[in-house]
Amino acid sequence: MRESAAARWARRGGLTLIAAFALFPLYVIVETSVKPLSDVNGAFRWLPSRVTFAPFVNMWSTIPLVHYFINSVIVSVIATVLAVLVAVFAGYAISRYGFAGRRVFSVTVLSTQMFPGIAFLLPLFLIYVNLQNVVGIKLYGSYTGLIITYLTFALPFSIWMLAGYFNSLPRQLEEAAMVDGATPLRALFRVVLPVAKPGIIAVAVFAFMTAWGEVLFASVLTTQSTRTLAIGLQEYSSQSLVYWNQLMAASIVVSLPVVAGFLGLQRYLVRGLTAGSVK
Amino acid sequence: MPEVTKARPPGAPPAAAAAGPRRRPRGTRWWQDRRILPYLLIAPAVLLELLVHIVPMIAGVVMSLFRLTVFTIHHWQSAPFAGLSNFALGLNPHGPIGSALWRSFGVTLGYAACVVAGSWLLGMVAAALLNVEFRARGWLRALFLVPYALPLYVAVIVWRFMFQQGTGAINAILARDLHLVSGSTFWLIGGNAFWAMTVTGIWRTWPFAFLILLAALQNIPGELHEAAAVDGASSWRRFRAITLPQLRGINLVLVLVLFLWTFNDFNTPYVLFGGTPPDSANVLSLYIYVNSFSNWNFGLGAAMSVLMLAFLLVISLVYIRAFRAGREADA
Amino acid sequence: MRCARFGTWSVTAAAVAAVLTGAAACGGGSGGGGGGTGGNAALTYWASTEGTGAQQSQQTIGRVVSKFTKETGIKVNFQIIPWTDLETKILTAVTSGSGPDVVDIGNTWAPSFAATGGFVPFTKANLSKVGGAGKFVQASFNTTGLPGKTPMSVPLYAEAYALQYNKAEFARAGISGPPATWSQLVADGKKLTHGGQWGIAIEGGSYTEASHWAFILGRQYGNPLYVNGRPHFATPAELTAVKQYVDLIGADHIADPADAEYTSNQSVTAFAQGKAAMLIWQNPATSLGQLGMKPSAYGIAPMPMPATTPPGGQPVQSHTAGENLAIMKSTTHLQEALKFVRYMTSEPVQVELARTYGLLPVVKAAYANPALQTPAYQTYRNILEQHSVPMPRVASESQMETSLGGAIVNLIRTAATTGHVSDQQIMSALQSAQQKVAAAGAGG
Repeated sequence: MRESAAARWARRGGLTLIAAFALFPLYVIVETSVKPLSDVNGAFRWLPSRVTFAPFVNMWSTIPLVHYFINSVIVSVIATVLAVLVAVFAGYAISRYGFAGRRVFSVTVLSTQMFPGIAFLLPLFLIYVNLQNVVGIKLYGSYTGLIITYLTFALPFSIWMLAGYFNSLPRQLEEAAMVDGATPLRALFRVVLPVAKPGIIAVAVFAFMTAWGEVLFASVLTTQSTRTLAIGLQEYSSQSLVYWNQLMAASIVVSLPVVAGFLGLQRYLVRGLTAGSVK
Repeated sequence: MPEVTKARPPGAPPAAAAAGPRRRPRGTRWWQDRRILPYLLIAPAVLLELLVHIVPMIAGVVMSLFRLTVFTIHHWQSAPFAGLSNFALGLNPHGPIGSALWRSFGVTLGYAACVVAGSWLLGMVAAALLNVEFRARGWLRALFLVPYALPLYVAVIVWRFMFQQGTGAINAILARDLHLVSGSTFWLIGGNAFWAMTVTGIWRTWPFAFLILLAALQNIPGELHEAAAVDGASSWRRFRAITLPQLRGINLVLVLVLFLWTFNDFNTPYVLFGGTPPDSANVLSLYIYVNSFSNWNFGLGAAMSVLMLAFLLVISLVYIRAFRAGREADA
Repeated sequence: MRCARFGTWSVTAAAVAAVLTGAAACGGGSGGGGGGTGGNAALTYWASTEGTGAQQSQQTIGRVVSKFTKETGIKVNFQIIPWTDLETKILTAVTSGSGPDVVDIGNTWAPSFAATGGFVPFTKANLSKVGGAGKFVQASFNTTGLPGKTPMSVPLYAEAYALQYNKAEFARAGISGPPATWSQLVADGKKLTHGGQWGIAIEGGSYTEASHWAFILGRQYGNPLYVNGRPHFATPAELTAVKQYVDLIGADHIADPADAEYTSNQSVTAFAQGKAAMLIWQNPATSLGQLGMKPSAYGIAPMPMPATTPPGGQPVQSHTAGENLAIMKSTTHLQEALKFVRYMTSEPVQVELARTYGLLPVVKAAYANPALQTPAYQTYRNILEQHSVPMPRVASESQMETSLGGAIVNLIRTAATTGHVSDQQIMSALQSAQQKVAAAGAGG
C-alpha cells in the first residue's frame, strides 16, 4: 500500500506533535539537572545560564542515595524473579489444566486489581507485624515484607499475560516431551519456557517496574535502612530548600537502568504482549 | 474404574497412546499427578494473594464497621462496633464529609474518563502511525515508551516542577513566549489543577495503551488491509471496518484496566498536590488518605474505600456483561 | 465427584491460611519490636529532621548519641525521619504495638497521641528519673500532653514565631523599625511592594502554617479555637483573624500570589533572596544561613498584634512550638529509654543541639550559657516564655489542623487566583471546617 503525500505529511506532523509532548518534560529533567540552583529558583530558561555538573556530585551527599539505590535494586530484582516464577506456575496451570476452581481463581486474581491501595494498607501492615511476632520472620522494616508485597502486586497482570501467552503455544510441545517420558514439570521447564521467553521477559519488565516505582506501601513498610528510591527521592524536597537540580540529576540516575532495560527489551515486550493479547 | 466413562477435563493433554488413559506418566511422583499438579502450581499465587490482597482487604471491610479513631486505634481489638454509621457519615450528601465525598467521586470519575480517553486516543493514533515501516520507527517507539519506564515519582515531580506559577516551564512557554495565557495563571491550585493532573496522568499512561495497541495492530494480518485497499476502501474506512473490530477484545480489556488503574491512582495526585489538594483535583484515593492518615479516622476511611471498591466492582461487572452481550450479538 | 474432592483442596488450603493469619492477627502485638538480642540493651530512636535537613540531622544526632553510648554503654540505633512521614509512622507504630523505643514528636501532636494511650506516661517517678519537671521551661512543659493529665512526653526543642525583616530594604523604603501592629505591617508592606519585590512572604500552601496563624491571630482577636473541648471556628473574631492572614495576598496585595503554591519552605528562600522584605517564621536562622543570608542582614522582632486589644484578645505572639520526646509503651527498655531522655534534655546537650539547629533549648539552665546570650536568642526566649500559648490541647488537634488549615489554604488559593476573598467565603469555610471536626472527632 502506498501512501499519498498528504497522508505521509499528516503522519509526520502527528508523530512530531506526539514526540514533542513525550519529549518536553524529559528535556526539562535533563536541562534542570545541569543548572545552578540560582537558575532553578528563578524564572524558567530554555538553556542554563551556565552548565554545571555539581548537582550530579552533590546529590549523593544530600541524601543517602547509594543506600536507597541498593535497597531498590535488591527488592526489585528479587521480587521480579519470584513474581515470574509464581506467575509462570499459575499461568501455566490456568492455561493447560481445567481444574475445579480455575475460573474462580483467575477471576479473583484479576479482580484484586480493583482494590484501592489505601483500603488494605493499614491491615496489611498490621498483619505483617503480627505475623512477625508469631512466626519470627522480620516483615516490617526488612526486605522480606516489601518483596512479598511487590511480588504479589505484579501477579494479576503477569498471570493474565502468561496464561494468554501459554494459550498461544501449541500443546504438542509438551505432549511430545511427555510421550518421551518427561514429567509435566520437566516438560514445562525444558520445552515450554524457552519458547515462552518473550512473554516471560515482558512479565519480568512489568514486575520490575512495579517494584521500582511504588510509593504508598514503601512509605509505610520501610525504615530508613530499607528505604527505597521511590520515597527516598522525596527527601530532596523536604530539606530546608528544594534542590530541584539535584532531584532532577538523581532522577536521571535512578531512571537510567529502568529505561535502558525497558528499551533494550521492548521487542520482547511487544512479542510477549502480541501473543498474550490474542484472545 | 470410572476413568473410562468420565468426560476428560478440558485442557488436559490427550492420553499417551501406548499406555492407555494414565493420569500421569510412568515413574513420576504423586505431586506430578494431573489432578494434583495444577493446585500445587497455583498454590504460591493463592497464598500470596490471600496474604497481601484478600485477607487485608477483608480486614479493611471489617474495619469500616468499627469506630476506629485516635482514641481507639491503640487497642483496636476492642474498638466499639459502629455498624453502618461510618457509611452513613460518608454518604450523607448534606453533611460536610458526605458532600465532599460525592464531589470527590465526581472529580475522580472525570479524571479517569479524561485520562482513559486521552491515553487511548493518543495510543491509538501513535500505534496506527507507527504501524508502517520507516527509518526512525524504532527510535520513536523507544522515545514514546520512556515516560512509562520512568519511576512514577520522577514522572510526576517533573510536571509539578513545570506547572509552578512563577518559575515553571509551562507558564514560561504559554505565557511568556506564546502569550496564550496570562503570566499569573495557576496550574496547581484552582480549577486548572484538574487539567494539570489530567495532562500528567495522560503523559504517564498513554505509552501503556500505545504498547498494547501496537502489539495488537501488528497482529492483524496484512492481507485484510490489502484486500480492502484493492477494493478501493480509504484508510479511514479500513480503520473503521477492519482495524477497530479486530481490536475489539483488546480494547475492552485495555479500557477497563486503564480505568481501574486511573480511578485508584493515589501517587499522581499525591506527588502533584500533597495532602491538601485543591477541590477540583481532590480524587477519592487522596481524600480517603487524608481522612485515614491525617484525620486519624480509620473507620471512616475504610468505609469510603469499601464504597469505592463496590463502585469499581459494579462497573467492571456491568462492563464485562455488556461486552459478553455484544459478543453474543456478533456471533 | 472427583472435581469436588480436589476443589476442597484449595478450599482447605485457603481456610488454613486464613485461620493462621487470623490467629496471628488476633494474637495481639506482644510488644518489643527491635529489642536487643541479648547482651547490652540497644535503644531504637526515631529523630525528626531539623536544621538544614537530613544530612545535618544525621551528623548531629550521631555525634550526640555516640557520646551517650560512651557514657552509659547503651547503644542507640537512630533514624532520621522526614516530616512528611513522621506522624504516619508513629501512628502505625502505635497501632501495631511495635516500633521504636524513643521518638520525637511535634509537640502539637502530644494531646492526640496522649489520647491513644500508646505512650509511657511521665509520672512523678518517671519525671524525676529524667531530671524533674522543674528543669523545663514552663511554656514548653505545658505542651506535653492533655491539660490536667499526666504528660505523655517531655520537651526537647522549642521554637517560636518571630518577624524577620530585611534591614536594607527597610532602610531603602525609609521605614525606621519593624511594625508592631498589623495595620503598620500592611502599611509597611505596601511601601515595600514594588517591582519584583513583595512586602512579605508566606507559606500559603501549608495547612500547618495556616492553622498556626488561625490559632495565634485568633487568640489576638479574642477567639480561642476550642471552647469546652468543642471546636469554635465560625465566629466574627475568628473571621477577622483569618481575614488578616488571607488578605495579605487578597486585599492588601503585599504577598506574592505565587506564595499560595508554597509548601516546601519556598517563602524562606524568597526572603533570603530578597524577593520579600518580611518573613514571619519559626527560627529560620540556620536555613537562612544556608541560603547565604547573614544574620546581620535581617532583624528579628515579635509578631505584630492588633493596634487596640479587641474584647477577649490576648497578647499572644506565637504558639509554643517545638518537638517533644516520647517513649512508646511497647518498649522493653524503659529504664534505658529514660536515661536517654535525661541525657537529651541535659544542659550541655541542649545547648549543643540548640546552637547546631538554630532552635531554642527547653531547659532553663541552658539559657544561662554564654553562647546563647545573643539578642536574637533573648528575643526568641522572651516570645517563648512570655507571649506563647500551646496550640489547642485536644485529641482532635490533628484533625483541626487538616480541616481548618486546609480550609484556609483554599481561601488563600482563591485569593491568589481571583484576587479577592469575601467575608462570606471566609465564614462558610470556617463553618464547614467546624462541622467536619465536630462530626468526625466527637466522642470516642
